[in-house]
Amino acid sequence: MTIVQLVKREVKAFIKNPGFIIGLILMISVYGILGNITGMAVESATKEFTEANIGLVLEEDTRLVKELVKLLNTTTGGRIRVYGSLDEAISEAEVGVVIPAGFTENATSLNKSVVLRGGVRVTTFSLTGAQARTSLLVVVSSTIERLLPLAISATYNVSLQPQKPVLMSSNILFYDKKISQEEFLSITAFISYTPLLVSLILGINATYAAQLVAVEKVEKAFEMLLAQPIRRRNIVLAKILGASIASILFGAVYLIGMLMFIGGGLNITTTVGTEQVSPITMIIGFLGPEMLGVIVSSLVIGLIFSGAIGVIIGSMVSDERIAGVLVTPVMFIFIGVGFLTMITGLSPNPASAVLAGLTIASLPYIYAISLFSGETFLIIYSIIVAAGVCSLLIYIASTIFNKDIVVLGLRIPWGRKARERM
Amino acid sequence: MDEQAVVVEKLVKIYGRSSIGVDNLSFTVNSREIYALVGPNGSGKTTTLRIISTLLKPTSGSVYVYGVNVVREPLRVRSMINYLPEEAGAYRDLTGLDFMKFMLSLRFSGRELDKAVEEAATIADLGNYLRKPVRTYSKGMKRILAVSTVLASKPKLLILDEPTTGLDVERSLYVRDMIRKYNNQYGITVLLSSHNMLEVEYLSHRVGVLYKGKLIAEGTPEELKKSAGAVNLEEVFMKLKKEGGVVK
Repeated sequence: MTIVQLVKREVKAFIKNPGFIIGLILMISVYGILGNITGMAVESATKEFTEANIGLVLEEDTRLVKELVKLLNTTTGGRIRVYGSLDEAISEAEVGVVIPAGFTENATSLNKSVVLRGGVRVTTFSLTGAQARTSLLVVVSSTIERLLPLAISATYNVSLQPQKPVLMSSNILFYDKKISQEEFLSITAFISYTPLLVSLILGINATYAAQLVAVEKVEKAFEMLLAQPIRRRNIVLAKILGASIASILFGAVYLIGMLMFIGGGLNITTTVGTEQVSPITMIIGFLGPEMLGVIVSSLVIGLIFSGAIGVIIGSMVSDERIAGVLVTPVMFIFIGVGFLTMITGLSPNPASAVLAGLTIASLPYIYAISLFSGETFLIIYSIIVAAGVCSLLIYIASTIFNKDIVVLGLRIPWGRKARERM
Repeated sequence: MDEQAVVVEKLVKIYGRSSIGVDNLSFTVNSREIYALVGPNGSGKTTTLRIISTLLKPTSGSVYVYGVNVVREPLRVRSMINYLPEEAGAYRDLTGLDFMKFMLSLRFSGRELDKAVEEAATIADLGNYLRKPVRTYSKGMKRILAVSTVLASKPKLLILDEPTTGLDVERSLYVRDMIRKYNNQYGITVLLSSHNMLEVEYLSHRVGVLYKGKLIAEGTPEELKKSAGAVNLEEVFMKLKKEGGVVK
């Protein structure tokens, strides 16, 4: 029975902890909002998938091709448009498929294969958006594969329905730059996962910073420190920098581990033209070495940002237990923002730039969008907002360090005491 | 007239909406004096010391340390004072010596710092333990480490909240002697709080008795004993409490 008492005491310690309750409310609220945003993005991607036009380029004009196009148009609900070239089809309809010369011969000869050429235009790094576009090509080729026997039967009045696989060789027009599907997948994965990795490090940093302040309070050295002839702002900055250095060390070791995993463990290569290169070489070649600078800068700004949040939390709590309880949801929120960027992506508009500036983790994403869309103002907006938010958070942390709350801790008048007061 | 080290005027501190920490408190501490605040738990001693040390802001009233307002110029005040909080500890990951070096480096540099650290080490008298991490220290050792660090900083005003709490008899006597020595030798003004009336009687030139945030009596230990017809300060305090406070 003693175990019951022990468990009860542990559970009570959490449930009666205001930080725990605040954390729960915070997580539910933020993840609820993130869920809605993700839902809207998925809905928009699905809509695009089901409503987008399909551009066809007909390099031969046989009865079979005409019959196939007719069937295809009926099956897709009238979404087929015919263009003169693949580039035109991609640029107008965003998805283009070429029915090549020799198609009829290949389709009606048992020994020959049917190979189509296709292309898709993508103007987003969002995994959901990009997948919606690229899977349209797959859907078109499988629909043609399904309809081809019917078209042959109708055209030549034969009951034999040969099962013939239809292959698709596709290219992607990524922000007006032609790349292979492999390159496209590597780039979108890199750009989409970077905010998640950055946000993970920021979440850890906020935890470190909150613990630095809270532990100092528990060690009872905090008040002695506050009475020394130093500016409180310097204490705040020292704590942010201290936590950042620890996080950078963590991040560096994490990154080395990841590179060892990718480079040594999997030994993945990507085909660029005729060459086999590592995904990292290909990504740097495609996005430019500046991208690494942007990631490092995002980390630095983000560490200041999350460090200040951690210091604010640490300064308001009385011990590391409450700090841990309060900072955990903050960490999850950071990771949630990373996931959100990865899944839904950001559109090239000022609102996205401001959002990236507010969340910091999405700065590399916005940089990539700026780079490809040519809208350089986006990254400038983001950096201005990020710098402003960081300064504001440092100011808030310094202000709190000059208030009673840093010594007394946050006192929430709820429960019995609050009722007594009423 | 003696220079006034601390002037507290109509000080009020209210926590939250209604919890009164200090209620219309006024007193002065003269330069080079040892002044003790005594009173039961929750009487406002720590709150008062924290306000003077610039850790808390008063709700109303004013506090001056050597003529400098603690709210308006806290940094200037901090350069003249040092504060030993109740149950002050030290960073667990540092050695005792590193803790002294760190705290004193916030006030001194170069040879002055070396001298101050040496002095703090001498006061602490912890031998080889000074090179061991603080996490291996007993409560008393941590206390003596903190006391020695603030003493070695030789501020104009030393604020000590329960300086000998957690110390054994021998160490308590040692610390009291050191406080006296630094007061006599370096002219350091000392404002302390204590529950130990023997300590207060031994150390203080003047004593202020706090009760429910108010100053209910003030004077030298002899004056207080005489006015209350008591043989020691403990008796004085009990009589004052029983009578609900007397005019100082």
